[in-house]
Amino acid sequence: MRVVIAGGGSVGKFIAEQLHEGGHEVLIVDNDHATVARALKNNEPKGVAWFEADACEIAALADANLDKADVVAAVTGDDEDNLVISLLAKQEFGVPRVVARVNNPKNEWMFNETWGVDVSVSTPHLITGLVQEAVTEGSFVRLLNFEGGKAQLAEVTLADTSPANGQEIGELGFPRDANIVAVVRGDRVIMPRPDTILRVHDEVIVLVTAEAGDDVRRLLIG
Amino acid sequence: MLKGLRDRLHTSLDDLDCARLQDRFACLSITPIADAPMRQPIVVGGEIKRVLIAPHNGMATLEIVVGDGTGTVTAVFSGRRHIAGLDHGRAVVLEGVAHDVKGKRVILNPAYTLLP
Repeated sequence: MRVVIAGGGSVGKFIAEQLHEGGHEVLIVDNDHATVARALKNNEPKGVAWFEADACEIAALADANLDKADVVAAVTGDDEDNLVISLLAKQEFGVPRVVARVNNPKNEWMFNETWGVDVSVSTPHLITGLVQEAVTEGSFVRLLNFEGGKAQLAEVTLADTSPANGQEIGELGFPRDANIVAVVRGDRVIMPRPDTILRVHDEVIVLVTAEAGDDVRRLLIG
Repeated sequence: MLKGLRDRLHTSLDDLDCARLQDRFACLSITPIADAPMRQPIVVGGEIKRVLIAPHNGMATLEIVVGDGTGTVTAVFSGRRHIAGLDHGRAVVLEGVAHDVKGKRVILNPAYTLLP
């Protein structure tokens, strides 16, 4: 796939390197002369092409052949720039998949299809989710959002008070719009079957739509 | 003339409408929607067949389906509820870049010209 990355900082370079190793054709666009010159001189990341231009300009994006790109990742350190790049990629070049980085968590609400963003990644939100997962028992922890929040992957660690303790999954009466996709018990990952019995302290990973969220909370948390 | 009348009587309303739209928009120097390439700047025209306000993530989004008898294209205006002149039945010319959204031809925030 042809991937164009806007922003050649540590994030952009890391993504470029990984994707290049994965066999993709990668171009990084950055407007800082020193950054581009240094990267070209040291030939890093290996095999990745660089283009010195302002990715917020339509002409620059046209020169970067965005009309042939399969994915654009806007990962600069500036949320305004990331939004502008995302909107231009979608509106002016019809890029099928636009991924954008959220720097300030206060701006996350804007990173949606109105601004041309298909997937947004917010490091602060990810960290919150991971910390909560480690410390909270008996609450619903969001791990990942799909389709602009219509579905999410969430995790619940069963507390002593959970009504699901000792129950078979098949007898829980799970709503049709939700599924238990894995149960983590200690070091083991258990593939859930209707006859799997849930126990206290199990980490239950569920795929759930927005409508079914309340039902799942009631069944697993009480 | 009699043959023309017979042909008209044997054709469905949809086909007649397609033929009428094709006649109307063929004379303008625009691309028929069915031939319009994806992901390239295009100029297409047609009559507005459908207007809907579809909220996306709590934001109002105006969606307009335009047809010229060869195909349809959906123009999406983000953050708008209404645009004066873009009403059902109105003829418009749209300029923008189309991309594929689940099999639909979609132009995001196109430039538009209202035709009389």
